[in-house]
Amino acid sequence: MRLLLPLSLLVVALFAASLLIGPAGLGLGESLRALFRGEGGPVVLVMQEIRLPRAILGLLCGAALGLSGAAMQGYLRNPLAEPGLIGVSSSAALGAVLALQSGLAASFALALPLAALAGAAAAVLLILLLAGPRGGALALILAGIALSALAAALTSLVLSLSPNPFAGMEIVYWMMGSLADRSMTHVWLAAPFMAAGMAALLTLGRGLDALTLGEDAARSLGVNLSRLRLVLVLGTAAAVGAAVAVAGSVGFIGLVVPHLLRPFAGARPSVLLPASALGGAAMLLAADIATRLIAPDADLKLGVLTALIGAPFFLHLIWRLRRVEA
Amino acid sequence: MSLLSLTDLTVLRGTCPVVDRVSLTIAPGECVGLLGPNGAGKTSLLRGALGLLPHQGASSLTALAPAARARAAAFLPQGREIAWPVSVETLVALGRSPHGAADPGHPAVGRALERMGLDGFRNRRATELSGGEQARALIARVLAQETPLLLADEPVAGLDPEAQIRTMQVFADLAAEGRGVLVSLHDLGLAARHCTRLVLIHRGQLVADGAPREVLTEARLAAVFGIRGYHAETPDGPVFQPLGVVR
Repeated sequence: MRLLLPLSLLVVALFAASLLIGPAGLGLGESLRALFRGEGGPVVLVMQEIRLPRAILGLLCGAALGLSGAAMQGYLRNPLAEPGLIGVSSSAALGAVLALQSGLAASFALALPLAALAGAAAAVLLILLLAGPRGGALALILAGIALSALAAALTSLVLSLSPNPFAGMEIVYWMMGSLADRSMTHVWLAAPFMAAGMAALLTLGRGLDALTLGEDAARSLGVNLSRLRLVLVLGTAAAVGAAVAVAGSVGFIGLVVPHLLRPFAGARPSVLLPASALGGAAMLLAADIATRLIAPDADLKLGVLTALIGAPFFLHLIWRLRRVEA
Repeated sequence: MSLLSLTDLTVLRGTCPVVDRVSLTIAPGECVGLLGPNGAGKTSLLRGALGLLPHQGASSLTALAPAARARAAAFLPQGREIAWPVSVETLVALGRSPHGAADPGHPAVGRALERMGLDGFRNRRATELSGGEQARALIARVLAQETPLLLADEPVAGLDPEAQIRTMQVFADLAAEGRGVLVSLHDLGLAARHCTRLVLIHRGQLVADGAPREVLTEARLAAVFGIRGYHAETPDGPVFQPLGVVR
């Protein structure tokens, strides 16, 4: 509670900031009134059709990434695990890239997110097939690594077979991740998957806590590990697959946020789950605001920014780990 | 009413039986030592009895639903795993989770910490304790579960002499309070001294089951462990000390 309250306040503040900051340079009162007003006009349009979906998607995608990262780290009992580990992100990206390449994305607006969701669903089926219904954590990691490598290779193949440089550029830009120019339609498409996935992941707290003692002890405490793993894979796939579908590949949030918050959660996975959802939302909203503030005209990509913050943090993590283990 | 009954329990690794038709019952008030050389099948027996390994034959515990089993028997695995730097009281409170919430404030957590001499460690990070202290914290977790039956796989390995004796005394006390304990051990002296009954397994098969003095005979020690030893009855109870190798 002492952790979740300040995090919630931070998320609310950043959500509001995301609504109020943008190139249109609207006044505070003006934009707030426009948010709740029914009739048209340019300000209402900007607030309701551009900024509101962007802020909602930032909140949801960040929460999905942070929460799945915490769940994945808890299950694998490894602070270096991240939601992309089971191959869902790269497969969703492959689906989206295929949609861009085939021209399907240009024919109707939702083709891209739908193709990404299909990619994520295919990844889940493959991973459950490869790792088996009762397999352990290692089988899951290895299957995920193989699947990620395959999806990444296919993405590169599609890219190199791209008919013209513009299609190639479009694919590369999309893969960097962004929340720009998303509509409420994107929200309505992705929100149900993310909500269902996150609701499933939030039920795993007790089982993940017990896993602190290892698999045998957890099972002897009454935890059904096969079920836990299934819920983890399905929940992560729904939440992260939908996040990739609407925001592209946004890395490092799922890795960094649980790690940052772990000391404040007393290292308890059950406390870390909701905390990481809030932390992920705060971090993605902040990063998205930063892309607008740092270079309003250059369309700075969200994934680039989170990686720019995330990678040095990762190095710091390794540095500290090395010192502890020395 | 027995707390555990195994009937022809068999655990296969490939086609090789690592536990071979073992039948065994444990009644309230018994502290049973599970003995056998490395690879005899002690761990497989315990895991099979809990349903953690695929097995043939019957175990009264695997007949229960997982949640009911977690309230009937607590298990201390051999591998001492503490994945996250949680506080000792949080770790011990995990033993309360089958009964509802893993609440560090529950009196059972306090009792368990006190029994293992960890009162002053409540708020320390479990991963920063020494190996022996971690082992004691993990035993406390099993005690906090407060189940009628306790299964422990080599709980005293790597503990200092005081902690070894204390731990065995705790198990003996639990038995005296009417609960049942099945504990696998390599220290035959501790087993002879603190267990009410010993079960000896060799190559997966149960070869002896009875009072310590009846189980640890010269012929069996030679055949199963390849050692000879010294027995005595002292005012402190039975004493057994391995002396040499016979093969």
